Amino acid sequence: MNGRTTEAVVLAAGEGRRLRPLTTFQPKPMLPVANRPVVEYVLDALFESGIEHVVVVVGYRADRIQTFVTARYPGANVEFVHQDTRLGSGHALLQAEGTVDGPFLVCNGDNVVDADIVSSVLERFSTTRSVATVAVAQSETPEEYGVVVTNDGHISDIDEHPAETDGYLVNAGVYVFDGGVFEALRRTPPYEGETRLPDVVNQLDGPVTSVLVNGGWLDPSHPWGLLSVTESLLTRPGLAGVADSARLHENAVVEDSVVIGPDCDVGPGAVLRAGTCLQNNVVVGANTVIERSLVSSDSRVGAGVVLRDSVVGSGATIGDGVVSPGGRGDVVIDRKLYTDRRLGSIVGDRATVGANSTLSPGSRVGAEAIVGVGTVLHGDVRERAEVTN
Amino acid sequence: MCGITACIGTADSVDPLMSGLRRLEYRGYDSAGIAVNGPNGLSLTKRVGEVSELATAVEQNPLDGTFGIGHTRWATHGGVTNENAHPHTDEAGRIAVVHNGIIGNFQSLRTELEADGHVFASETDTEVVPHLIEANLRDGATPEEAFRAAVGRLSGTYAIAAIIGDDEVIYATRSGSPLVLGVGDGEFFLASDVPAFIPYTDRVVYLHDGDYVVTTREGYSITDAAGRPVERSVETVDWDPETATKGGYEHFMYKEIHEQPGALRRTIHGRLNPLNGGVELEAFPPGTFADVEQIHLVAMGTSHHAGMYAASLMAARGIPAFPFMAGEYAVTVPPVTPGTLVVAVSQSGETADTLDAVRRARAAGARTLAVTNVVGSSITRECDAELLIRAGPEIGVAATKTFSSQVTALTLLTERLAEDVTGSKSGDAHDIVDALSRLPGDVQEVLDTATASAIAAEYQDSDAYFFIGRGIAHPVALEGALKFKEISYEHAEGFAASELKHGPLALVTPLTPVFAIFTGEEDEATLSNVKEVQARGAPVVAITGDTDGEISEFADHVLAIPETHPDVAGVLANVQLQLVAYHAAKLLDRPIDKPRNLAKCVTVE
Repeated sequence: MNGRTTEAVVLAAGEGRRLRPLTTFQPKPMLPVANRPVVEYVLDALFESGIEHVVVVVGYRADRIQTFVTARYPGANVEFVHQDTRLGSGHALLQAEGTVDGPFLVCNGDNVVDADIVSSVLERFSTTRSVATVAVAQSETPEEYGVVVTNDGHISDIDEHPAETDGYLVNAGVYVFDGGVFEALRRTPPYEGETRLPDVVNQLDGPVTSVLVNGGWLDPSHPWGLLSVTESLLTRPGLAGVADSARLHENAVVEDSVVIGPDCDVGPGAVLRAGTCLQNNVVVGANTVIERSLVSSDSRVGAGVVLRDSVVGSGATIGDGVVSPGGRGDVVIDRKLYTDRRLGSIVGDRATVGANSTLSPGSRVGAEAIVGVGTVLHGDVRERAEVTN
Repeated sequence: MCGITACIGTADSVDPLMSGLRRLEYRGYDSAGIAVNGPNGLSLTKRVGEVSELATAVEQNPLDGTFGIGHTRWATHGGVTNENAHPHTDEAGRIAVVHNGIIGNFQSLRTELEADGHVFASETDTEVVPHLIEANLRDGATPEEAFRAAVGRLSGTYAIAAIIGDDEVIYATRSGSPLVLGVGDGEFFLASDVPAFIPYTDRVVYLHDGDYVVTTREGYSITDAAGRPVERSVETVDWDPETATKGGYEHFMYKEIHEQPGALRRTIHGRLNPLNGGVELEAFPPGTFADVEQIHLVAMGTSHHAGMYAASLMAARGIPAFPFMAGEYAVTVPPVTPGTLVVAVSQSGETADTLDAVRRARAAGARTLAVTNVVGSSITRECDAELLIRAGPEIGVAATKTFSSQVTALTLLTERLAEDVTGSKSGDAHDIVDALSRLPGDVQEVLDTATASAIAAEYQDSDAYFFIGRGIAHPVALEGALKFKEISYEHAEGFAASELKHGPLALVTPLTPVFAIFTGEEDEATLSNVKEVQARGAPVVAITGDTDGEISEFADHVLAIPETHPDVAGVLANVQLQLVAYHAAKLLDRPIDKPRNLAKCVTVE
C-alpha cells in the first residue's frame, strides 16, 4: 500500500478570466472571500492535513501570490515555480517536476477546499495501491467541471465535455499522484493547445481510485460565486468579526455574519448587513448601507452609498450617494449569457465611481476606469476608460 | 561590519554555524571562516569570498566539533586574504577568536606582544586577542580569567566570541558592537543579529555593552566586567526563518520592493484616524513634545535621505528642523539646547556613526528619539524613546522598503510634532492622513503598472544618470541616485533642481539621462530645469502624478505615480526609482543583493 504523503503542489498560475475586471492586477487565487485570499484557505487546509512541503506553481501576476504567501506563512516550507506560458493545468503541474519526490497531492489555488477533503484524498491514496486518487463531488453545474465515470471506486474516465450531465459526479480538482504522473503528462495529447490535468488520468500506468467528498469544496469561478462562497464561509466559526484596530462609529450598525478587517473606518449611521466584508484599511462614510458585498483593501466608500450584492476591488473610490441596488439580472461573461444571477455591480481595482451614479445589476467598471458624476451605468466600462453622463 | 556567530550544545556545530553565517552575510561577505572543537580537537577553515566558498571548502574537508565559532568579514584592517579572515588563533592553534568592530589600540598591543615573542599570522586588529589570552594563560590564569583580562586591555568597539583549549565553553563579550544570545533547549547560540540562529530558537537575550557571557551546554552566565552577575531577560522574537528567503523572487531587493504595500500597512497600522485627520502614536500622546524647540535629524546613507525628507516636512510646518549626516555631526557639533530633540534614524539601529552622534547629543543635554526597524537594537537602548517603522526584516543591502517606512513613520512623527510644537495641527493634516492611509494601495498601483524596466533598457550604456527635484523631491533625487549607483556601479548623482545651473549643468549631455521628480509642489520651477537640460540634449524621464499636463508634454518618458498629497508623493516617486535602479543593475548582471564593497549594516565609523 502507498504510505503517507507529505508534499503538495498548488496550481495558482491562472488568471481567472471570468472574474475580470477583478483579476486585472491580481490572479484569482488572491481574490478575497470572507476577507482572505482563496489560496489562504487552500494552504491552511494543506498544513492542517499534515502536508510539510508545498510547491506553488505561479504565473499570472506571480508577485501578488509570492508576496502574500511568504508573509502569511513565514516558517513554512513553501517554494515557487513559474509557468511562463499558460498551456493548461497539466503543463502547470509539469513545471513542478523535480521539486517533489514520491507521491504528492495536487490542488487548485483558486478553489476553496477544507482539511477534510484533503485528508480524505490523502487517506484514500495511502490505503490503496493506486497510482492516483481523485476527489469527486456532486455538482449542480457539471458542465463547468469534468464529469467522472467511476466504477466501484475506481475511475475509468474523466469526460471534460460531457454530452449529458444529469446525476454525474464531477472532478473536484484535488488529486494525489505518484511520481509517474510526469511521464504520463508528457504522453497526454493536448486539447486545443493545452495539456489538461484531468486528461492525464487516462494515461496513467495503474489503477486510479476516487473518493467522494461532500461540502468543503467551493469554487468562486464567477463574480456571484465570490458572494455566495463568502456567504457560506461566514457561517464557519471564527471568520466573521471586527478587527481590533477597526474603528466603528458608535452609531454604526453591524450585523452578524459581517467581517471588518484591520484599520477600517466606519462612519456614523452606516449599516453593514449580513454577508458584507471590508478587507483592510477600508473607509465607509456616514449613512452608507452595504449588504452582502465585498469591499477590498484601501477602498473608499463615500457617504449615503447603497451597495448590494456587489464587489469592489482594491483602492477603488465610490463617491457619495452612489447606488448599486443589486438583485437579479442577466450577465454576459466570456461571451456566455448567464440569466437571472444575483449580482449587483463589479468595480475593478482603483476605479472611481462619481457621486450619485447608479450601477445597474450586472454592470462592471474596469480597473482604473472613471465613471463620471451622476452616471446611470448599464453593462461594462473598459479598463482605464472614462464615461460620463 | 562583520558578522559573528557561535554555538554550543548541538550534536554537530558545523551546520548551525554555516546557516548562521549565510544569514549574516548581509553584514559583510569578503571572507568567512569557522572554528569548531570536539573529540578531535580544534579545527578551522577560512576562505576569501562569499560564505558559499567556505561551504564548498567545508564540504570537501569536513570539520567535526560540538561547539564552535564563525565569522563573515567586511575588511577594515588588512586586505581580503585567507590569513586575514577570521577566526584568528594563537600560534599553537589552541585559542580561536572572532570579532566584529575595531580595536583602536591594537597597534601598541601588537608591538608589545611581538616584543614578548608572539608571532602574528595576519594584518588584523583582531589577532591581538588570542595572543593576549594565550599570554594570560601562560601566566597561570584560568581560561575565563585570561579572556576577561585580554578584553580588559582593549579599547575601541567590539563583539568577541572565543573558544579556549578543549574546555567545552564559549566566552563572549560586547562593547559598541551588537551581540545577542540565543537560548535553546540545551543549545545556546551567540550572534551579531537574531536571524543567525532563528532556525534553532526564537528565545533571545539582548546583551548590553560590558556584558560577559560564559556559555556551556548546561547553561549560561552573564556578568559585568567586575564579574558580578547581571540580570538580562529572555525575550521571544516573532521572526521566522523563512522571512529571510527570496519567496520565489530572483533577488531579495525585488522581493522587498514588492513587500512595500504590506510594510507600509504595518507602519501606519493603528496610527491614523482618517475620520478626524489625527495621528495616534501610542508612545507619544499629544503634548509629548510641547517643550521641543528644534529638531536635529541624524542618520547616514538612505536613512539620512529619509531624515532630509522629514526635515523638509517639519520646516514647512514651522518647526526648526535640520538634517545632519551623523558622521559629520560628531565633527562639527551644532549647538544643542535643552529644547533640542535629536531624532536618530537607522534601519538596523546599530549604525556606528549614528550611535556616536546620539551619544554626543545626549552628553550635550538633548532629548533623543530613535526611528528604527529593529526591536531591541543598540539605538533603542541609547535613546530616550523609540518609534518603530515595522517594515520587517530587510536583507538586500540596498535599502528599499525601509526608506518608505522611515519616511512614513517620520511623517506621522511630523504631524505629532507640529501639533505639540506649534500648538495646532498642520493646515492640511486631514489630507496628509488620508494620503498616508492610501499609501499602501498607491504603492501597489506603482508596482502593478510599472514600466521602469523599459526605461532602464532604453538608457542602458549612458555616460551618467542624474536625478533632480526640489523640496522633498531633493532627498528623493539623492536616494534615487544612491540606489542606482550602489547596485548598478554606474555613475549616478542627485541634485537639488535649483542647483543645476550652478555647476552640474556642465555635466549634462545627450548621454546623461535626467530623472526629474515632480511632487505637485513647485512643479513649474522644476519644469524649467527640465527644459534647461533638454536644451543641452539630455533625455528627461519625469516621475509625476500629473500625467496629462505640461510635464508629460515636455518629458521624453513619464513614470507615473498616483495623484496624492505632495508631501507623500516622494515615497511613490522613490518606488519608481527603486525599480529603475533594480532593472538597470539586472541588465548589467550585477550581484544586486550584495553589491561590491558594501555591507548592510555599518557598525564601524
